[in-house]
Amino acid sequence: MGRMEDGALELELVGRAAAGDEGAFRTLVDRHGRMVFNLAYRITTDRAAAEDVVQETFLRAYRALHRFDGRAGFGTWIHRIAMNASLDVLRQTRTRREVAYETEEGALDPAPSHVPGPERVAASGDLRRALGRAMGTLTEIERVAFVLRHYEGRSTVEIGEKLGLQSNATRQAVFRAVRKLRLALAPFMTERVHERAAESGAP
Amino acid sequence: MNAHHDFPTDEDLILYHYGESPDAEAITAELARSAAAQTRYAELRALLATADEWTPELPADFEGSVWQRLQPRLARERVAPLATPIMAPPPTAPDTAPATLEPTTAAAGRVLPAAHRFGARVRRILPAAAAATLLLAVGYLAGRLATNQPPQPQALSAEARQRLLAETLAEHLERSQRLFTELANAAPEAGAELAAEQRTAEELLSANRLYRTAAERGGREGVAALLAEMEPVLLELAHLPEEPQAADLEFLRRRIDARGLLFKTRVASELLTRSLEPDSPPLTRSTV
Repeated sequence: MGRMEDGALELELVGRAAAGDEGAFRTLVDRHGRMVFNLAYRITTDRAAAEDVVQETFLRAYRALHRFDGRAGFGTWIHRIAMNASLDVLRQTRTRREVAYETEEGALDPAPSHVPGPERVAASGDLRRALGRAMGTLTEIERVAFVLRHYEGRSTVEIGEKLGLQSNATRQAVFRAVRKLRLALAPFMTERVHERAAESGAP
Repeated sequence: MNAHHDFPTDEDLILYHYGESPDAEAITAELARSAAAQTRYAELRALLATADEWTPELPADFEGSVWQRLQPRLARERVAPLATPIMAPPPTAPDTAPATLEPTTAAAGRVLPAAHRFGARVRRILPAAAAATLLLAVGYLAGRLATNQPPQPQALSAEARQRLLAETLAEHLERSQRLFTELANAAPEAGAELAAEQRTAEELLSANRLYRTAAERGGREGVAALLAEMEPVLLELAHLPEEPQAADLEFLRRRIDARGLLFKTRVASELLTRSLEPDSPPLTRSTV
Protein backbone atom coordinates (compact mmCIF):
# COMPACT_ATOMS: atom_id res chain seq x y z
CA MET A 1 0.00 0.00 0.00
CA GLY A 2 1.41 3.41 -0.96
CA ARG A 3 2.12 6.04 1.61
CA MET A 4 -0.78 8.24 0.49
CA GLU A 5 -3.24 5.35 0.53
CA ASP A 6 -1.89 4.36 3.91
CA GLY A 7 -2.31 7.89 5.18
CA ALA A 8 -5.85 8.06 3.87
CA LEU A 9 -6.69 4.74 5.50
CA GLU A 10 -5.27 5.86 8.82
CA LEU A 11 -7.13 9.14 8.61
CA GLU A 12 -10.30 7.16 8.08
CA LEU A 13 -9.45 4.89 11.00
CA VAL A 14 -8.85 7.88 13.24
CA GLY A 15 -12.16 9.38 12.21
CA ARG A 16 -14.01 6.16 12.90
CA ALA A 17 -12.20 5.70 16.22
CA ALA A 18 -13.05 9.25 17.25
CA ALA A 19 -16.67 8.45 16.44
CA GLY A 20 -16.57 5.50 18.84
CA ASP A 21 -15.52 2.64 16.59
CA GLU A 22 -13.39 0.58 18.93
CA GLY A 23 -12.31 -1.79 16.17
CA ALA A 24 -10.83 1.10 14.23
CA PHE A 25 -8.78 2.17 17.23
CA ARG A 26 -7.62 -1.38 17.75
CA THR A 27 -6.37 -1.45 14.17
CA LEU A 28 -4.34 1.67 14.89
CA VAL A 29 -2.96 0.07 18.05
CA ASP A 30 -2.06 -3.05 16.09
CA ARG A 31 -0.31 -1.03 13.42
CA HIS A 32 1.76 1.13 15.74
CA GLY A 33 2.06 -0.76 19.02
CA ARG A 34 5.42 -2.33 18.27
CA MET A 35 6.93 0.93 17.10
CA VAL A 36 5.78 2.58 20.32
CA PHE A 37 7.16 -0.27 22.42
CA ASN A 38 10.51 -0.23 20.62
CA LEU A 39 10.89 3.50 21.12
CA ALA A 40 9.85 3.28 24.76
CA TYR A 41 12.14 0.34 25.41
CA ARG A 42 15.12 2.05 23.87
CA ILE A 43 14.58 5.14 25.95
CA THR A 44 13.73 3.43 29.23
CA THR A 45 15.57 0.08 28.74
CA ASP A 46 12.89 -1.48 30.92
CA ARG A 47 10.25 -3.81 29.54
CA ALA A 48 7.69 -3.09 32.22
CA ALA A 49 8.16 0.65 31.82
CA ALA A 50 7.92 0.30 28.05
CA GLU A 51 4.66 -1.62 28.43
CA ASP A 52 3.35 1.20 30.58
CA VAL A 53 4.41 3.73 27.98
CA VAL A 54 2.50 1.83 25.29
CA GLN A 55 -0.63 2.00 27.42
CA GLU A 56 -0.15 5.63 28.31
CA THR A 57 0.62 6.60 24.73
CA PHE A 58 -2.54 5.08 23.31
CA LEU A 59 -4.63 6.43 26.14
CA ARG A 60 -3.34 9.94 25.52
CA ALA A 61 -3.95 9.47 21.82
CA TYR A 62 -7.46 8.16 22.41
CA ARG A 63 -8.36 11.17 24.49
CA ALA A 64 -7.01 13.51 21.84
CA LEU A 65 -8.30 11.79 18.69
CA HIS A 66 -10.67 14.65 18.00
CA ARG A 67 -7.69 17.00 17.85
CA PHE A 68 -5.83 14.93 15.24
CA ASP A 69 -6.00 17.04 12.09
CA GLY A 70 -4.16 14.74 9.69
CA ARG A 71 -1.50 17.30 8.74
CA ALA A 72 1.12 14.81 9.91
CA GLY A 73 0.57 11.07 9.64
CA PHE A 74 -0.94 9.20 12.55
CA GLY A 75 2.38 7.39 12.95
CA THR A 76 4.24 10.68 13.35
CA TRP A 77 1.64 11.90 15.80
CA ILE A 78 1.64 8.77 17.94
CA HIS A 79 5.42 8.69 17.78
CA ARG A 80 5.62 12.17 19.29
CA ILE A 81 3.23 11.19 22.06
CA ALA A 82 5.23 8.03 22.72
CA MET A 83 8.50 9.90 22.89
CA ASN A 84 7.10 12.38 25.40
CA ALA A 85 5.53 9.60 27.43
CA SER A 86 8.84 7.73 27.44
CA LEU A 87 10.76 10.78 28.59
CA ASP A 88 8.12 11.38 31.28
CA VAL A 89 8.66 7.85 32.56
CA LEU A 90 12.39 8.30 32.45
CA ARG A 91 12.17 11.46 34.52
CA GLN A 92 10.06 9.64 37.08
CA THR A 93 12.40 6.68 37.11
CA ARG A 94 15.42 8.92 37.38
CA THR A 95 13.95 10.64 40.40
CA ARG A 96 13.31 7.28 41.99
CA ARG A 97 16.72 5.91 41.13
CA GLU A 98 18.55 8.96 42.40
CA VAL A 99 17.03 8.39 45.79
CA ALA A 100 17.20 4.60 45.66
CA TYR A 101 18.27 3.20 48.94
CA GLU A 102 19.80 0.04 50.18
CA THR A 103 19.37 -2.16 53.15
CA GLU A 104 22.23 -2.79 55.46
CA GLU A 105 23.03 -5.80 53.26
CA GLY A 106 22.85 -3.59 50.20
CA ALA A 107 20.23 -5.79 48.57
CA LEU A 108 17.13 -3.65 48.52
CA ASP A 109 17.76 -2.23 45.08
CA PRO A 110 18.10 -5.25 42.81
CA ALA A 111 19.21 -3.21 39.78
CA PRO A 112 21.90 -5.15 37.93
CA SER A 113 25.32 -3.77 37.22
CA HIS A 114 25.31 -1.66 34.12
CA VAL A 115 28.98 -1.98 33.38
CA PRO A 116 29.65 -5.46 32.03
CA GLY A 117 33.16 -6.33 31.08
CA PRO A 118 33.97 -6.92 27.43
CA GLU A 119 34.71 -10.56 28.16
CA ARG A 120 31.09 -11.03 29.23
CA VAL A 121 29.91 -9.39 26.05
CA ALA A 122 32.21 -11.50 23.92
CA ALA A 123 31.29 -14.68 25.73
CA SER A 124 27.57 -14.23 25.23
CA GLY A 125 27.79 -14.77 21.49
CA ASP A 126 24.45 -13.09 21.22
CA LEU A 127 24.67 -9.77 19.49
CA ARG A 128 21.24 -8.58 20.46
CA ARG A 129 21.89 -9.22 24.12
CA ALA A 130 25.34 -7.74 23.79
CA LEU A 131 23.77 -4.63 22.33
CA GLY A 132 21.38 -4.40 25.23
CA ARG A 133 24.26 -4.68 27.65
CA ALA A 134 26.30 -2.20 25.66
CA MET A 135 23.44 0.26 25.90
CA GLY A 136 23.51 -0.38 29.62
CA THR A 137 27.02 1.04 29.78
CA LEU A 138 25.73 4.44 28.69
CA THR A 139 24.52 7.02 31.09
CA GLU A 140 20.90 7.97 30.77
CA ILE A 141 21.68 11.23 29.00
CA GLU A 142 24.06 9.48 26.61
CA ARG A 143 21.56 6.75 25.84
CA VAL A 144 18.60 9.03 25.25
CA ALA A 145 20.67 11.43 23.16
CA PHE A 146 21.93 8.51 21.09
CA VAL A 147 18.47 6.95 20.74
CA LEU A 148 16.94 10.22 19.61
CA ARG A 149 19.85 10.91 17.24
CA HIS A 150 20.41 7.46 15.81
CA TYR A 151 17.04 5.69 15.89
CA GLU A 152 14.71 8.65 15.79
CA GLY A 153 16.69 10.89 13.44
CA ARG A 154 16.30 13.95 15.64
CA SER A 155 18.65 16.87 15.16
CA THR A 156 21.07 18.00 17.82
CA VAL A 157 18.93 21.07 18.44
CA GLU A 158 15.76 19.01 18.90
CA ILE A 159 17.49 16.58 21.25
CA GLY A 160 18.92 19.45 23.24
CA GLU A 161 15.46 20.92 23.63
CA LYS A 162 14.05 17.60 24.81
CA LEU A 163 16.84 17.01 27.29
CA GLY A 164 17.40 20.57 28.36
CA LEU A 165 20.97 20.57 27.06
CA GLN A 166 23.03 23.01 25.03
CA SER A 167 23.92 21.84 21.54
CA ASN A 168 27.53 21.20 22.43
CA ALA A 169 26.57 19.12 25.46
CA THR A 170 24.13 17.17 23.30
CA ARG A 171 26.79 16.45 20.71
CA GLN A 172 29.24 15.39 23.40
CA ALA A 173 26.64 13.00 24.83
CA VAL A 174 26.24 11.37 21.42
CA PHE A 175 30.03 11.20 20.97
CA ARG A 176 30.47 9.54 24.34
CA ALA A 177 27.68 7.09 23.56
CA VAL A 178 29.33 6.05 20.31
CA ARG A 179 32.71 5.70 22.00
CA LYS A 180 31.24 3.47 24.71
CA LEU A 181 29.34 1.36 22.20
CA ARG A 182 32.51 0.93 20.18
CA LEU A 183 34.33 -0.26 23.27
CA ALA A 184 31.56 -2.58 24.44
CA LEU A 185 30.99 -4.11 21.00
CA ALA A 186 34.64 -4.37 20.01
CA PRO A 187 34.58 -8.21 20.22
CA PHE A 188 31.94 -8.28 17.49
CA MET A 189 33.06 -5.47 15.27
CA THR A 190 36.03 -6.88 13.37
CA GLU A 191 33.85 -9.57 11.92
CA ARG A 192 31.03 -7.14 11.24
CA VAL A 193 33.29 -4.75 9.34
CA HIS A 194 34.50 -7.59 7.16
CA GLU A 195 30.95 -8.76 6.55
CA ARG A 196 29.88 -5.30 5.47
CA ALA A 197 32.93 -4.93 3.25
CA ALA A 198 32.13 -8.27 1.59
CA GLU A 199 28.50 -7.26 1.10
CA SER A 200 29.52 -4.02 -0.57
CA GLY A 201 32.04 -5.79 -2.80
CA ALA A 202 35.07 -4.11 -1.31
CA PRO A 203 38.37 -6.00 -1.54
CA MET B 1 39.95 22.59 3.93
CA ASN B 2 40.77 21.64 7.47
CA ALA B 3 44.52 21.13 7.62
CA HIS B 4 44.59 19.44 11.01
CA HIS B 5 46.70 16.30 10.77
CA ASP B 6 44.11 13.95 12.32
CA PHE B 7 41.21 15.35 10.35
CA PRO B 8 38.55 14.05 10.27
CA THR B 9 38.35 13.07 13.92
CA ASP B 10 35.94 10.42 15.16
CA GLU B 11 33.62 13.20 16.26
CA ASP B 12 33.80 14.78 12.82
CA LEU B 13 32.84 11.46 11.26
CA ILE B 14 29.90 11.00 13.63
CA LEU B 15 28.52 14.42 12.76
CA TYR B 16 29.18 13.71 9.09
CA HIS B 17 27.32 10.42 9.30
CA TYR B 18 24.28 12.12 10.78
CA GLY B 19 24.39 14.97 8.26
CA GLU B 20 25.32 17.61 10.81
CA SER B 21 28.94 18.27 9.98
CA PRO B 22 29.92 21.86 9.27
CA ASP B 23 32.88 20.44 7.33
CA ALA B 24 30.95 18.00 5.17
CA GLU B 25 32.64 18.93 1.91
CA ALA B 26 36.12 18.69 3.39
CA ILE B 27 35.33 15.34 4.96
CA THR B 28 33.97 13.99 1.70
CA ALA B 29 37.15 15.04 -0.03
CA GLU B 30 39.31 13.52 2.68
CA LEU B 31 37.38 10.24 2.51
CA ALA B 32 37.98 10.16 -1.23
CA ARG B 33 41.69 10.75 -0.69
CA SER B 34 42.60 8.81 2.44
CA ALA B 35 42.34 5.05 2.82
CA ALA B 36 42.83 5.42 6.56
CA ALA B 37 39.89 7.79 6.80
CA GLN B 38 37.82 5.41 4.70
CA THR B 39 38.63 2.54 7.06
CA ARG B 40 37.69 4.56 10.13
CA TYR B 41 34.46 5.67 8.55
CA ALA B 42 33.63 2.11 7.50
CA GLU B 43 34.17 0.98 11.08
CA LEU B 44 31.90 3.70 12.38
CA ARG B 45 29.16 2.83 9.91
CA ALA B 46 29.45 -0.85 10.78
CA LEU B 47 29.12 0.00 14.45
CA LEU B 48 26.06 2.17 13.90
CA ALA B 49 24.51 -0.41 11.59
CA THR B 50 25.03 -2.97 14.34
CA ALA B 51 23.25 -0.67 16.77
CA ASP B 52 20.24 -0.83 14.45
CA GLU B 53 19.80 -4.42 15.53
CA TRP B 54 18.98 -3.38 19.08
CA THR B 55 15.32 -4.24 19.12
CA PRO B 56 13.55 -5.97 21.98
CA GLU B 57 12.10 -9.39 21.33
CA LEU B 58 8.34 -9.34 21.44
CA PRO B 59 5.90 -12.23 21.54
CA ALA B 60 3.81 -12.92 18.46
CA ASP B 61 0.65 -11.88 20.28
CA PHE B 62 2.14 -8.61 21.52
CA GLU B 63 -0.64 -6.54 19.96
CA GLY B 64 -3.27 -8.77 21.55
CA SER B 65 -1.79 -8.35 25.00
CA VAL B 66 -1.57 -4.58 24.53
CA TRP B 67 -5.21 -4.50 23.57
CA GLN B 68 -6.24 -6.73 26.45
CA ARG B 69 -4.89 -4.16 28.90
CA LEU B 70 -5.95 -1.15 26.93
CA GLN B 71 -9.51 -1.98 26.01
CA PRO B 72 -11.02 -1.80 29.53
CA ARG B 73 -9.32 1.55 30.03
CA LEU B 74 -10.81 2.87 26.83
CA ALA B 75 -14.21 1.73 28.03
CA ARG B 76 -13.68 3.70 31.21
CA GLU B 77 -12.61 6.70 29.16
CA ARG B 78 -15.92 6.62 27.36
CA VAL B 79 -17.86 6.92 30.62
CA ALA B 80 -15.41 9.35 32.15
CA PRO B 81 -17.66 12.40 31.76
CA LEU B 82 -20.27 10.69 33.95
CA ALA B 83 -17.79 9.49 36.48
CA THR B 84 -15.43 12.44 36.62
CA PRO B 85 -14.03 12.72 40.11
CA ILE B 86 -14.71 15.83 42.10
CA MET B 87 -11.10 16.90 41.99
CA ALA B 88 -10.28 15.83 38.44
CA PRO B 89 -7.26 17.59 36.96
CA PRO B 90 -7.77 19.69 33.83
CA PRO B 91 -7.23 17.93 30.52
CA THR B 92 -3.86 18.38 28.89
CA ALA B 93 -2.62 18.03 25.35
CA PRO B 94 -1.21 14.58 24.68
CA ASP B 95 2.23 15.73 23.72
CA THR B 96 2.58 18.20 26.55
CA ALA B 97 1.01 16.14 29.29
CA PRO B 98 2.91 16.12 32.56
CA ALA B 99 5.10 13.19 33.46
CA THR B 100 2.84 10.46 34.69
CA LEU B 101 2.12 6.83 34.08
CA GLU B 102 -1.38 7.22 35.33
CA PRO B 103 -4.26 7.92 33.02
CA THR B 104 -5.49 11.44 33.76
CA THR B 105 -8.90 10.03 34.41
CA ALA B 106 -7.62 6.96 36.17
CA ALA B 107 -9.60 7.90 39.24
CA ALA B 108 -12.72 8.20 37.16
CA GLY B 109 -13.76 4.74 38.21
CA ARG B 110 -15.13 1.73 36.41
CA VAL B 111 -18.33 1.53 34.48
CA LEU B 112 -20.85 1.45 37.28
CA PRO B 113 -24.50 2.24 37.63
CA ALA B 114 -25.06 5.82 38.81
CA ALA B 115 -25.91 4.92 42.41
CA HIS B 116 -22.86 2.71 42.66
CA ARG B 117 -20.76 5.41 41.11
CA PHE B 118 -21.71 7.74 43.92
CA GLY B 119 -20.83 5.07 46.45
CA ALA B 120 -17.58 4.41 44.71
CA ARG B 121 -16.77 8.11 44.78
CA VAL B 122 -17.47 8.31 48.47
CA ARG B 123 -15.34 5.24 49.08
CA ARG B 124 -12.54 6.84 47.14
CA ILE B 125 -12.82 10.21 48.74
CA LEU B 126 -13.21 9.18 52.36
CA PRO B 127 -9.91 7.38 52.79
CA ALA B 128 -8.22 10.08 50.76
CA ALA B 129 -9.72 12.74 52.97
CA ALA B 130 -8.66 10.88 56.08
CA ALA B 131 -5.20 10.39 54.70
CA ALA B 132 -5.06 14.00 53.61
CA THR B 133 -5.92 15.18 57.09
CA LEU B 134 -3.20 13.05 58.56
CA LEU B 135 -0.76 14.04 55.88
CA LEU B 136 -1.42 17.69 56.27
CA ALA B 137 -0.25 17.22 59.79
CA VAL B 138 2.59 14.89 58.95
CA GLY B 139 3.65 16.85 55.89
CA TYR B 140 3.54 20.08 57.79
CA LEU B 141 5.54 18.65 60.60
CA ALA B 142 7.99 16.96 58.29
CA GLY B 143 8.31 20.15 56.29
CA ARG B 144 9.07 22.07 59.44
CA LEU B 145 11.71 19.53 60.24
CA ALA B 146 13.27 19.77 56.81
CA THR B 147 13.37 23.55 56.71
CA ASN B 148 14.74 23.94 60.22
CA GLN B 149 12.23 26.60 61.06
CA PRO B 150 11.98 27.54 64.71
CA PRO B 151 9.42 25.39 66.49
CA GLN B 152 6.10 26.85 67.51
CA PRO B 153 5.20 26.62 71.15
CA GLN B 154 2.64 23.87 70.55
CA ALA B 155 4.77 21.91 68.04
CA LEU B 156 5.85 18.36 68.71
CA SER B 157 9.50 17.70 69.27
CA ALA B 158 11.59 16.70 66.28
CA GLU B 159 11.78 13.20 67.65
CA ALA B 160 8.02 12.98 68.01
CA ARG B 161 7.52 14.22 64.49
CA GLN B 162 9.88 11.60 63.13
CA ARG B 163 8.15 8.93 65.15
CA LEU B 164 4.75 9.97 63.84
CA LEU B 165 5.97 9.89 60.26
CA ALA B 166 7.75 6.56 60.75
CA GLU B 167 4.68 4.97 62.37
CA THR B 168 2.40 6.17 59.60
CA LEU B 169 4.69 4.99 56.85
CA ALA B 170 5.39 1.65 58.52
CA GLU B 171 1.69 0.93 58.84
CA HIS B 172 1.05 1.89 55.22
CA LEU B 173 3.88 -0.30 54.00
CA GLU B 174 2.77 -3.21 56.13
CA ARG B 175 -0.75 -2.96 54.76
CA SER B 176 0.58 -2.75 51.23
CA GLN B 177 2.77 -5.76 51.84
CA ARG B 178 -0.25 -7.76 53.01
CA LEU B 179 -2.10 -6.79 49.86
CA PHE B 180 0.80 -7.80 47.63
CA THR B 181 1.10 -11.09 49.52
CA GLU B 182 -2.60 -11.81 49.03
CA LEU B 183 -2.23 -11.17 45.34
CA ALA B 184 0.86 -13.32 45.10
CA ASN B 185 -0.95 -16.19 46.82
CA ALA B 186 -4.31 -15.84 45.10
CA ALA B 187 -5.39 -18.77 42.95
CA PRO B 188 -5.02 -18.03 39.23
CA GLU B 189 -8.75 -18.38 38.67
CA ALA B 190 -9.55 -16.06 41.56
CA GLY B 191 -9.74 -13.04 39.29
CA ALA B 192 -13.46 -12.55 39.89
CA GLU B 193 -12.98 -12.44 43.66
CA LEU B 194 -10.68 -9.47 43.85
CA ALA B 195 -13.26 -6.86 44.80
CA ALA B 196 -12.01 -6.55 48.37
CA GLU B 197 -8.40 -6.30 47.25
CA GLN B 198 -9.35 -3.67 44.72
CA ARG B 199 -11.05 -1.57 47.39
CA THR B 200 -7.97 -1.87 49.56
CA ALA B 201 -5.81 -0.89 46.62
CA GLU B 202 -7.98 2.18 46.00
CA GLU B 203 -7.55 3.26 49.60
CA LEU B 204 -3.84 2.58 49.58
CA LEU B 205 -3.45 4.41 46.29
CA SER B 206 -5.05 7.56 47.63
CA ALA B 207 -2.92 7.44 50.74
CA ASN B 208 0.20 6.43 48.84
CA ARG B 209 0.42 9.67 46.91
CA LEU B 210 0.10 11.74 50.04
CA TYR B 211 2.53 9.63 52.01
CA ARG B 212 5.05 9.90 49.21
CA THR B 213 4.93 13.68 49.45
CA ALA B 214 5.24 13.49 53.21
CA ALA B 215 8.14 11.06 52.98
CA GLU B 216 9.94 13.32 50.52
CA ARG B 217 9.40 16.36 52.70
CA GLY B 218 10.44 14.42 55.77
CA GLY B 219 13.73 13.40 54.22
CA ARG B 220 12.75 9.74 53.90
CA GLU B 221 13.74 9.54 50.28
CA GLY B 222 14.17 5.79 50.27
CA VAL B 223 10.59 5.25 51.33
CA ALA B 224 9.45 7.90 48.86
CA ALA B 225 11.18 5.99 46.07
CA LEU B 226 9.53 2.76 47.16
CA LEU B 227 6.11 4.40 47.32
CA ALA B 228 6.66 5.69 43.79
CA GLU B 229 7.39 2.14 42.66
CA MET B 230 4.26 0.84 44.33
CA GLU B 231 1.97 3.40 42.80
CA PRO B 232 1.56 1.94 39.28
CA VAL B 233 0.85 -1.50 40.76
CA LEU B 234 -1.80 -0.13 43.12
CA LEU B 235 -3.25 1.80 40.22
CA GLU B 236 -3.44 -1.31 38.05
CA LEU B 237 -5.12 -3.30 40.79
CA ALA B 238 -7.54 -0.56 41.75
CA HIS B 239 -8.68 -0.20 38.16
CA LEU B 240 -8.94 -3.79 37.09
CA PRO B 241 -12.10 -4.67 35.18
CA GLU B 242 -15.03 -5.73 37.31
CA GLU B 243 -14.44 -9.30 36.22
CA PRO B 244 -10.69 -9.52 35.81
CA GLN B 245 -9.17 -12.31 33.81
CA ALA B 246 -6.49 -14.65 35.06
CA ALA B 247 -4.11 -12.81 32.72
CA ASP B 248 -4.77 -9.55 34.60
CA LEU B 249 -3.81 -11.21 37.84
CA GLU B 250 -0.76 -12.76 36.31
CA PHE B 251 0.31 -9.41 34.91
CA LEU B 252 0.08 -7.83 38.35
CA ARG B 253 2.01 -10.66 39.92
CA ARG B 254 4.77 -10.28 37.40
CA ARG B 255 4.87 -6.57 38.07
CA ILE B 256 5.07 -7.09 41.82
CA ASP B 257 7.73 -9.71 41.35
CA ALA B 258 9.76 -7.69 38.85
CA ARG B 259 9.91 -4.74 41.20
CA GLY B 260 10.61 -6.87 44.24
CA LEU B 261 7.79 -5.14 46.06
CA LEU B 262 7.06 -7.92 48.51
CA PHE B 263 10.61 -7.88 49.74
CA LYS B 264 11.05 -4.13 49.65
CA THR B 265 7.86 -3.33 51.53
CA ARG B 266 8.66 -5.93 54.16
CA VAL B 267 12.21 -4.69 54.70
CA ALA B 268 11.27 -1.02 54.67
CA SER B 269 8.40 -1.59 57.08
CA GLU B 270 10.66 -3.56 59.41
CA LEU B 271 13.37 -0.92 59.30
CA LEU B 272 10.87 1.80 60.08
CA THR B 273 9.37 -0.22 62.92
CA ARG B 274 12.82 -0.98 64.26
CA SER B 275 13.63 2.71 64.21
CA LEU B 276 10.77 3.25 66.62
CA GLU B 277 12.34 1.00 69.22
CA PRO B 278 14.10 2.69 72.15
CA ASP B 279 17.82 3.28 71.64
CA SER B 280 17.67 2.48 67.94
CA PRO B 281 20.15 4.43 65.80
CA PRO B 282 18.58 7.17 63.65
CA LEU B 283 17.67 6.20 60.08
CA THR B 284 19.56 7.92 57.33
CA ARG B 285 19.07 8.45 53.62
CA SER B 286 21.05 5.30 53.00
CA THR B 287 18.48 3.22 54.81
CA VAL B 288 14.94 4.57 54.83
